[in-house]
Formats: sequence, C-alpha cells, structure tokens
Amino acid sequence: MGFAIGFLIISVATLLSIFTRQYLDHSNTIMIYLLCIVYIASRFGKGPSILASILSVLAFDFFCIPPHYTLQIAGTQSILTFLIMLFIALLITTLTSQVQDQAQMARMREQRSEALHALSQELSLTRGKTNLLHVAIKHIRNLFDAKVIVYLPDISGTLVACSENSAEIQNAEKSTHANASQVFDTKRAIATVVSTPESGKMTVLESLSLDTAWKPSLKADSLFLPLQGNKETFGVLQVTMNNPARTLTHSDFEFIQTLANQTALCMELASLTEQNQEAQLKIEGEQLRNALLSSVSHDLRTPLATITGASSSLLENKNTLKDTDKEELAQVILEESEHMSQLVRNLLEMTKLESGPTNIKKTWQNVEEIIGSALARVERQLGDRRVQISLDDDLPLLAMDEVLMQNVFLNLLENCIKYTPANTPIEIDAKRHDSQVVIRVMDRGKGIRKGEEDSIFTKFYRSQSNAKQQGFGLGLAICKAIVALHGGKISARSRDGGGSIFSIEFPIDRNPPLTEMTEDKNAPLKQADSALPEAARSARIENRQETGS
Amino acid sequence: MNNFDKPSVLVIEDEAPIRRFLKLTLSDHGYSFHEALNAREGLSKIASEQPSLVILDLGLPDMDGIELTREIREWSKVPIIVLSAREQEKDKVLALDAGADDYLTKPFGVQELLARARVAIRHAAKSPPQADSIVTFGQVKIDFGKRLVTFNDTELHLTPNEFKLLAALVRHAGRVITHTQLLREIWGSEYTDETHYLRVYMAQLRRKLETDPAQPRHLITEPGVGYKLKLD
Repeated sequence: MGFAIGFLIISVATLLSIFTRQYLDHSNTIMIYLLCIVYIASRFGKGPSILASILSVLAFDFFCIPPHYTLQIAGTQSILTFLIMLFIALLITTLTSQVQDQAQMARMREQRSEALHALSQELSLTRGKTNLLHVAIKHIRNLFDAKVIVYLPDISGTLVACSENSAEIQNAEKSTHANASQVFDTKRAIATVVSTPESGKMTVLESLSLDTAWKPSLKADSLFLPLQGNKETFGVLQVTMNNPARTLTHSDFEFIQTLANQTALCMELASLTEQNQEAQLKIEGEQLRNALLSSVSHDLRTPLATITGASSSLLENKNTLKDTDKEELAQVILEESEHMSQLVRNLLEMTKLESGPTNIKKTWQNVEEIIGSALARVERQLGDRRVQISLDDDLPLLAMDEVLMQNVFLNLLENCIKYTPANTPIEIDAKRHDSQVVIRVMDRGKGIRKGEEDSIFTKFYRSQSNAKQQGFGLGLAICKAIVALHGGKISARSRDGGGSIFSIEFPIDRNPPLTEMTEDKNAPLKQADSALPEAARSARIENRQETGS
Repeated sequence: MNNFDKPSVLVIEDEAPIRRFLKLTLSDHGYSFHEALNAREGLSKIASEQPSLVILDLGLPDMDGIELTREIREWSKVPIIVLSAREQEKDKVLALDAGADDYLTKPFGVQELLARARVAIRHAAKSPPQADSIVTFGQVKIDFGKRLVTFNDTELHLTPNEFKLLAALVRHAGRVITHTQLLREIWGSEYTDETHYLRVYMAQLRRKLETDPAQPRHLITEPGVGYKLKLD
C-alpha cells in the first residue's frame, strides 16, 4: 500500500518536472522530489521511502537531465548531483522514520505505564490472592487481546491451570503444562514459537532477565512467566495471543514481566497480611478459650458445690435438722441453681450472638414494654429495691429484636442488683433526642472505676473492685453485642453523687408505621355493639378524637 | 377428662429427672400421674388414659413436639402445656399456634407449674366468658353485658379496638396468646404481621388499666411470644 502510493506520488512529481523542466532549474526540481520523499517517509515509513528515493533519482535522470529519455549521464557534475540527491533522500528517510519510531515508542510507553498504573490501582483495592489473580488476568487479557492462564500449585505442589474461561483450560495441552512446570521450578521464563515449519518447536530462553537472551528476531506466540515475589513463587502465568498473526516481542515480554511482578508482589503482601491475621486470631482465640475455661470451671463449680453440699445435708441429716434450717438449705439450692441457670443462659446467648446476626428479628417495639418485661423477670431479685422509671411520652416505636433487647435490660438490671447494696434505688429513663432515643439505667453503687469504662464491656472481664463476684463477665459484653446489632451504642460512666450510668443510644433509623388507619370510624362495630349503647358510644366519640389528633 | 374428682396428667418427656420431679410434685398435689417417654407412646396414652392435661416436652427423640401438638389437635381437645427452653421463643409461638394451650420455660418452679396446670384444666372445663359476664382484676372491672370498663369504680373510655383486645385477653385469661392469634382475632388474618398495632394498643390499655404501665401487674408481655392477662 505504502509502496504503491509512494510510486504514485513520485510519478506525479515526475510529470510535474517534465512540464516545468524548461522553466525551472534542476535544483528546484530536486526540491520537489525531496519534498515528496519527506512526505512519504513521514506517512509510510522506511521501505516506501527508500523506494521513492531511488525512483526519484532514476526519474530525475531519465526525464530531466539531457539527453532526455536516456539514463546516460553527461559530465561528472551530474553524477555528483545524483549522488548527493540520493544521499539526502536516504538521510531524510532515516531521520524521519527514526522520529516516527521514537514517537511510537513514547506512545507505547505511555500506554503501558498507564496500563501498569491501572493494574496497580485495582490490585491495591483488591483483597485476597485469588481476587488479585483475577484482576491481573483481566488486565493482561484486555491489553494484549490474549488468552491468559494461571498455573497454581495445589496442596501437593502439582500445578493446576486456572482461568476464568474453562474452555481455555481445556485447550491447554500437555506440552504447555510441562512448560509451566519447568518455569515454576527454574523460575525462568519461556517463550514458545508454534509458527515455525515443525510446528510446536520451542525456543527456550535461558535467562530472560538479561536482555541479550532475547534474540531480536524472535517473535513468540506464547510466553510463560513465573509469578515471582520477593520470597515466594506463586505460580506461572501463560499469555498466548488470540490472533495467530500477531506475536509477542521483547518489549511485550518485558511489559508482561512487569505486570506479573507487580501482581506477585501484591499477592505476597496479601499472603503476609493473611498470615498475620491468622496468627492474631489464633492468639485471641487462645486467650478467650483460657478465659472461658477458667470462668466456667470457677463459676459453675462454686454453685454446684453449694447445691451438692446443701442437698446432701438435707438428705443425710433429715432427722436432726430444724425445719428452719431445712428451709434455708432448700433456699440456697434454689438460689444457686438460678444463678447457674443465668450463667448458662449468658454463655448460650453469647455463642448465639457470635454465630452472626442471622438470628436477629427486628419488629416495632415499645420501649416501656421491653423494660417492663425485663423488670418482671428480675422481680424476685429486686426485693425491696425501688425502681424509678421515667419515660418520655413521645417515644417512638423502635425497630428491635424484642427478646434480645429484653436481655440487654435484663443484664443491665442484674448487673445493678449484683454490684450495688440491696437498699439502693435503680432508675431508668428514656428520652428522645432528634434522631435517637437514649435509654439510661442508673444505680447508686460504687460507680465505674476510672479507666474501666470501656473494658467492662469486654468478654470475661471482671472489674478489679469486684474480683470476688461470681459470673462469667459476659452480661455487659452481651449487651454491647446486641446493641451493636441494632446499630446503637452502649456506654458506662460514673454518676455525680455516686453510682453508675449505663446509657444506650438507639438510632431512630426509620419512621414507625402509622396506626391511626386501623380504627376506621366509619366501619360498623362488630358483634353486639348495638346492644351495648353506652360503652360503644363513648368508644366512638373517643375514637373520633384519636383519629383527629 | 372423665375423671373430675382427681384430674389426671400425662407427661410426655424423655428426660428421666424431669419426669421424676413432675411425678413427685403433681402426685403430691392431687393429680393422678401418667408418663410417656416418646411421642408414639404419648399419642396412644392420650387415647387410652383420656388425661385432663398433657405436659409435652418440645424436644422428644422420635417426633418434633410442634408436629405432635398438631397431630393431637386433630382429634383431641385435651389441654396441652409445652415445656421449652428460654431460647426457643420461635418454638413456643409455633406450639401455641399449633394448638398448645400454654408453655413453661425450663427451668421452672413448682408454683408456676401448678398455676399453669390449674388454668389449663379450668379453661378446658369451662366455656369462654359469656357475653354478659363480669370479670375483675386489680382495680379493673369489666362488664361484658354493658360493655363497661371501670377502674377504681370510675368508668373508662376504651376505643373499639382497645375493647376488642381486652376481650380477647380475657377470653384467654391466665394463658399466653401469640401476636398472630391476637391480630387475627381483632384485625383479621391479613394483619397477622402488623405487630406494631399490638404495641400501640397494649400501651394505651396499660395506661388506662395499670397503676404503673412500666411495671404492669396484669397485662403481661411474654417477649417474643405474645401477651397474657393475669387475673390475680
């Protein structure tokens, strides 16, 4: 194509020079030819330009230098002219195509650094080795229009081909697998050429970290590169062009190697992070298990010992014990078993909460009702303690899990009962502040030790001041977990004038549904309403007031 | 149900210690005691012994307790009290909706057990309150005939829905009614998910009928299950 157009342009220039040869100097005619050569060199590259250079010298001689229409040269001056003309034409060709090559290289370099940047950016946002690989595969596939297969070692160390496209794996032949294994073992890249006469012939590049190893003539069809981090080789990357007419050059190889290294480094980082996290989790798990074991062994054994002692005493000394003593022993058994039951309940609750938020069932709840039902469950333990409740009248219904939230208040109340003297009051209040409801449970006990405001919500934590108290130290941790499941916050602090304040901030995230529509004033009252005039009438009148408000 | 002088109780429970405790307690309080270790045996004993009350553990080895409740309800009206653990609110609701009359949460005390047994047997023996009957609890008096509710002898104004809710609770007095049952009775079966109706109307009822609505004595919440009216 370039050659044909080059030929055409020189022909036109020659025609022009034939018509103008009476009027123009030879040197000016040469200028026309050189102009054409510059154009051809810049548009069509080196080959057409060289052709044009030679053609124009011949044409100039044939048509413009007397004797016309022969290639005979008269005089040494003309020979010099031809030689200089040819030299300049070739020089222009070389320089122009060099500039062009450089521009193209710059363009390619820019594209590649952009591509590398894009890959790095996506890799940095990706977590997990598999995901990192997927990102790399996607990028390389799109950049080169190539199919990309990654070989990863399985548990036994055998390489297994992975790709997003399963057909690509099926097409992977045994020989390619052998290549991959070799690359994985030697950590040196391989390029294969399949377009040679004996198809499937392989060119093994001994060391591609050295530029000289890549023969400039080599055009590879497939590349196998190790995914090499600083310490670890993660696998092998195979890149094969989709279009058999296109091949991979040395610069392609270098670029793919850069991409592969980048990916491998990210994978190494991810794997280090994973290892760290695992180690951290293991340590934490170990600590928790120890805390749990010591808690369980101590806190379940104490009530068990009491129950065993009291009941065996009842059985063995039944004839000598006074009735009041018998009653007291029975009372001890009852109290201790209730205590154990509470411990077991908390353990189960914590386990359930930690198994995930799947068990949470939010419905619209009335705060007053939930506090009321929690209070009912600790009624006996409260004894003569005064409980003062003051709730705002305009508290909205809140979306919460009835049973879980009841447990929050139950635990807070049990906490107050356990850690404060029997004659001190407990106060509960709830207020609406803009987009949240704040519920507080307050006592007049010793308060919270400074610095323990957060740690008391940790599992198995027991305040230094209450080291002798029984319990797993799970109650407040449960509260915190449940409140967090509801998007709320629980905190504790000491109270002015002595005691502590536990406060729960509960977001009002949605507007509670309306209930007015449920009492339709136009609907006839069911059943024997007509026979019950007075109550029904008063009910109707009030109903109207309610819907009006 | 044929023996009114000495009511009989059938306990279907696979745990021996609980059977033993129930046997001691119930026999001591004038019940004749029968026991079954699994669902199959339980079914045949309900047919043969005709007990006045069935106490059924939800965790039986051979059949799900809720399934068993459903099966019993197909041919018998014997009152059923189910035994369950605290964490099984969903099962309690399912059992009640399947036709159980009441439930007891393990661990439970003797007083609670006997009270539930009494209520369940009384309910089975008695027909629901008549349209003209009068029910009292605390300072509240409800005259169904006149549709009149008074608190400390002062007449109260209840909205139609409040009254319907109160009437439903009175019909099941002493036992738990699930949210679904209440919603169906008052608003109809298409409203069984709208538990917030209950929250709102229960709050209103408590304001009117309880001395301290935050610590109700009669209109009791059973978290995760439903409501109960305590008459005494």
